Amino acid sequence: MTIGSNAADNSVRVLVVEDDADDRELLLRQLRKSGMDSHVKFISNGREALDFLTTARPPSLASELIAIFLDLKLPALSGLELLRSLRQQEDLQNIPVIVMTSSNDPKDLAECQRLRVTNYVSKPVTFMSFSKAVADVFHLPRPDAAPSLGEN
Amino acid sequence: MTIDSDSARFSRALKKAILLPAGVILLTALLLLALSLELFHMVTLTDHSAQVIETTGQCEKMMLDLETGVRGYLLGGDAEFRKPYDQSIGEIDHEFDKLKELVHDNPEQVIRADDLIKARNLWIEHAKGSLSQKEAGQMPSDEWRRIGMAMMDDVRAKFDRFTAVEKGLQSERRGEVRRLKQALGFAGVGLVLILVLTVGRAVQRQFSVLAGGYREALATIEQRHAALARSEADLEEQKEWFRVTLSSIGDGVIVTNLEGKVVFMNHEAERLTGWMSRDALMQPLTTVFRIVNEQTRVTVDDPVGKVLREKKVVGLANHTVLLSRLGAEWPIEDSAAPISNAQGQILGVVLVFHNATEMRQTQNAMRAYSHDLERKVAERTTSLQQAFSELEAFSYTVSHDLRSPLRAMRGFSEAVLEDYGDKLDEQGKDYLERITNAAGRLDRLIQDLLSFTRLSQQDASLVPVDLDRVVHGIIQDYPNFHSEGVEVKVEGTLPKVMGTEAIVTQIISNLLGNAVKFVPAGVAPRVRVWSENRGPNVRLWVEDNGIGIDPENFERIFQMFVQVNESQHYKGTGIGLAIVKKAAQALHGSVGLDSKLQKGSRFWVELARA
Repeated sequence: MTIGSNAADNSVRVLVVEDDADDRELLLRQLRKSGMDSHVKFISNGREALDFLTTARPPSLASELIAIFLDLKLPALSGLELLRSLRQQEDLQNIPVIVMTSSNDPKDLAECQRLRVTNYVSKPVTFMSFSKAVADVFHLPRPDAAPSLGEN
Repeated sequence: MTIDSDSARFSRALKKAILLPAGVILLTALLLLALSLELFHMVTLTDHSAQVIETTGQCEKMMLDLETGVRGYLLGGDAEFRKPYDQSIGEIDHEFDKLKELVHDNPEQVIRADDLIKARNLWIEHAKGSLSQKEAGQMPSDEWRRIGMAMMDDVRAKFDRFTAVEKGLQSERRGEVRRLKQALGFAGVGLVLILVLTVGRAVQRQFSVLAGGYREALATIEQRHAALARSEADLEEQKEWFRVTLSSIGDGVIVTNLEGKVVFMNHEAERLTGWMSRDALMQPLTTVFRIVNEQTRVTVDDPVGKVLREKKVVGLANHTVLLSRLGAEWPIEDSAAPISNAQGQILGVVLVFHNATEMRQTQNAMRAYSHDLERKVAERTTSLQQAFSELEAFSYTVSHDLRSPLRAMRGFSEAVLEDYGDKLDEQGKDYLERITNAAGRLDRLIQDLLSFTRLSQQDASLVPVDLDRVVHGIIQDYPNFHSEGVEVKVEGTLPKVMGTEAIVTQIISNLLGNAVKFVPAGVAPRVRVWSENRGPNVRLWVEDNGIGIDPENFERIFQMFVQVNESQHYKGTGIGLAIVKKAAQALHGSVGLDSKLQKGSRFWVELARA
């Protein structure tokens, strides 16, 4: 099965931090449909992702990156931790972060709100959930009106 | 009879006993005195008569001397023969006057004396004549001499008469004296006898009264003495009883006076201190009762001194050891209390103490045991906590790991449907949908199970939760509560309850979820939410217009995995209400329902008001 193309580091426009293979594939499918698949980088480890965004950052990252898809349950470094560190980076403070979640834990959601998560994609990633969440970011036509938590 | 009237009677009797005889004796003495005076007077008179007689004798003798002189001169003619006359003639008046003087108290005798003197003078005159004649050398004639002799006879006769009278008087007086002596004697004796008798009797009576009074006083004293002896006996008995009781007390008892000196020790105290009671008497307490700290061996504060200062019951510090005189030592426990009388004055101190070795051992054993217990409890708690967190981690991991393949199943089924749906017939699409639905159900089941398990693990510390905010929040956040045709109405403002945000949210979302889910096909869900005050609690009602529940299922419906409806029509895990019940119980509340088939249901949850 195809994992999907991994963009060259200096042309990364979408970063996906997700450890589960199936979830990754489903997200990639949606990205493919949106034509974003060639500029996607997949990282499956939280720490690695943090390094990529901070110390091991490719020079053009700040200008190229348009969205980060973040799974909350990651090995090594939790999604929230990563998000916290992310938001402390000056040039990444305003970058759209879309959290992929299967949980309804109000604690997690509250924290996400506080860290200015842009939107949520509920897992498993379907067309509906994806398109609702990324309409603003990727300038796609919205399937319907307001963003929401997604189906339960 | 009281002591006072006894003594009054006694003194009265005493007075009678003394005064009466004294009086009588006095009277008798006076009587005797009177008689004696009378006697004395009589004797004097008698003596006086004797004197008169003697003086009369003298006068007679003088007359005789005169006569002798005259006669002698007449016969002899010599002047020498006349001497008796010459010598006496000068004194004769004097002597006769003396005589007259002596009888002056007896007028008859005075007359006689006068007569006598007259007669005497006659003779003297005659004698003088005789003498003169003789002197003249003439011898008086016989006649003359016979006249003279007759005169002298007269004188003598008068003398005799005088003397006789006087002698008669004298003998009368002597007789009187004799009689008086007799009378005195008789009277004396008689009076003495009467005196003896009356006085004796009176005295005897008074003395018997006296004796009676004395006897009574003695009897009273005897009685009092007996009573005293009885009380003393009682006292002794009581003292003995107390002594025996005190000696039998298993604790040592030491009593001190106000100065802290030992006045009593019971047997146990003797044993523990090593002092014999008699040796310890009046010793200062600290000498007899030597206590030191178990570890430091520093002398412990004297409890008696403390009681006397503070005037209240005082206990000993812990870890005190009593040093026996014989070298042994024991850990002791004691308490000292002041002894006060009815007026509240402190009379001394009583110290009670006992060998605490056993108790100390027991205490130590208990302490060790409780330490052990605490340690075990701590260990268990730690292992329980460990187990809990392991379980939590486990269930979290389990749910996450269980859910992730389900996500894949659903996701890829959708993907096939979306991307290759046009290549499938209705059957194929249906199959894929079933896969998706089944995965979805399993997912929900896992989530519910997770919630349920979490409820068991939570150690909820309850805080006030705003029901109103939570309910409205849920209605807003969950699209199935405010989507097309769904009406969820909250009546009034819901109060605050004691709980946790998470659990309260869980309960309400489950109840509301059920309320909008279990409606007949084609019916728009109408849900009503309100609250009711029930004493210290709040009962939240969720009413729906759904399919209702058969009363025989009211109990079952809250059980795990029980679905009383046909599960095909209504998606449910069968855990939702079990979660609601468990959640309510976690908040120390309760749940219940009222319903009629086809007539809707009213579920309630009751929680403490905040």
